[in-house]
Amino acid sequence: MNEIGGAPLFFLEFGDIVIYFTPFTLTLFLLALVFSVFVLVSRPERQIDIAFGGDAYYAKEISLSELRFRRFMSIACGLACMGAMVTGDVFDFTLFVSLVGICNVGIVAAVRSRHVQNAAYQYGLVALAGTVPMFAAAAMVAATTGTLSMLELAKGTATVPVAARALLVLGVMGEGMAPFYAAKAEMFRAPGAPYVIMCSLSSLLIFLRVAEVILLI
Amino acid sequence: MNPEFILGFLLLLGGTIASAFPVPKTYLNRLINLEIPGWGLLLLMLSYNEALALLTFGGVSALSVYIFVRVIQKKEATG
Amino acid sequence: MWNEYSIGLAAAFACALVAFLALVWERDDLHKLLLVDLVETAALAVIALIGTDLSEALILPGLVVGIAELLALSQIYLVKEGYQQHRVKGLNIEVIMRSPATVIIATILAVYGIILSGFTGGAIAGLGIVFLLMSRSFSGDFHVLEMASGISWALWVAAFFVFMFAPEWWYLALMGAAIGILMKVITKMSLVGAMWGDQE
Repeated sequence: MNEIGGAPLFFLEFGDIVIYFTPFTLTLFLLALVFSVFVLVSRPERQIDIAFGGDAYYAKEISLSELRFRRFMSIACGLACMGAMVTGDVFDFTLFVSLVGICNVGIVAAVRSRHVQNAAYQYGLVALAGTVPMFAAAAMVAATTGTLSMLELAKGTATVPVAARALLVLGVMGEGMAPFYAAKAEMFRAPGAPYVIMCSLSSLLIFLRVAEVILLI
Repeated sequence: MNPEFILGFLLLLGGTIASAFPVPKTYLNRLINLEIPGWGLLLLMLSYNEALALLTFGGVSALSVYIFVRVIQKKEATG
Repeated sequence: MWNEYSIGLAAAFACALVAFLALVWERDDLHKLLLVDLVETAALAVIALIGTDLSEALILPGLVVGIAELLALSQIYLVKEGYQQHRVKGLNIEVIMRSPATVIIATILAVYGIILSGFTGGAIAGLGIVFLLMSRSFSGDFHVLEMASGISWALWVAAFFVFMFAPEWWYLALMGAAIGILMKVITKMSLVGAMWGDQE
């Protein structure tokens, strides 16, 4: 096997779909797991706005129902991220990335600020448009090589066309890369620290994983 | 290359152009034009004998039309 | 060199390109949502071109993802623009309220959904029941529906445990999972439809 992430430590097989743990994927998996546990046990911050020209400040409170919904969405995002880090199937990877996209929209959608909801809507549109090149890339991989398993493709017997790899990267960029467009950065104005940071962490981990996938297949 | 394949792709292409640039540019017009590439896709799936995908896409298309009609109705109603 | 797959792939990518161009030139949010649905159709065409059983296995989750995102985005659009409180005037047509046509259409949709089964089948059957509830008013018990939804979800999870730990009972688990998810989605959508019907 093309040992880009280190020697594989453990394989968890569900028939054809293999989940593989190399030092690289295991590190990313543990990072996502630890952060999901942080989200589970922490309380949201209170955003403080200072009134100009004086010492007065006011804090934004987060109601309990909003807290529960956003925490649930953050944990779901963390779980989807964990799945995306260790999966060994190209189509499963694209499905997990789409799930991360939806959960990111859900994390900020419960906030009542018009500006944040506008940003969440624009991000949701781009995420939905980003599933198109991702699924197209997975379909091209399946049609040209006959398999979707990353371990099979890593053996190098069948070559994946460059167009499929480029489309996969394009789709993942549209789905989750914060620096690439401003709407995702604007979503950070939503109050509630650990939940919003999950958006940023998930895009970082997915970026690292897609680099490994492209070099592997 | 059986006739369903060619007809499906013609409908898909024609429907995409019709839906991307509708002539009176209203929501309802665009929504109705969205059915044309849907039909093209159904014919394409028929040419490959993908029966389950065909049935599911037909039903899901109805569901998405329902979602869109609800949004359009709510937007155009006077509150 | 230009076999059937290449021609089909080129045509599907041309469709996607046209739809993306229209999306870039569009300014209005609801028009953008409709165009994104068009782009999804082009993506499904690319997946359908694989032509084997694998394409069916790939199309179904693709459809589920698309519908889930459409539901979420349409809800965010309504909340963000402040249209949630708009009351849509009911049509008050006698034909809809009295005739058996609504029951027949709802039955056809429900049977169609049960034949399909699974998540999308449940959604279609639920759509039939929503249609029925919106044309008549619902004066029933919500608690029974919620209990049925919860029990069927537990059945679905139990079926997956049977898959993993006792794979020789796979047929039982398959039927259990299909029925479980079907019932769950039907009851959830009926609840949603009943509540929408009450508002409007």
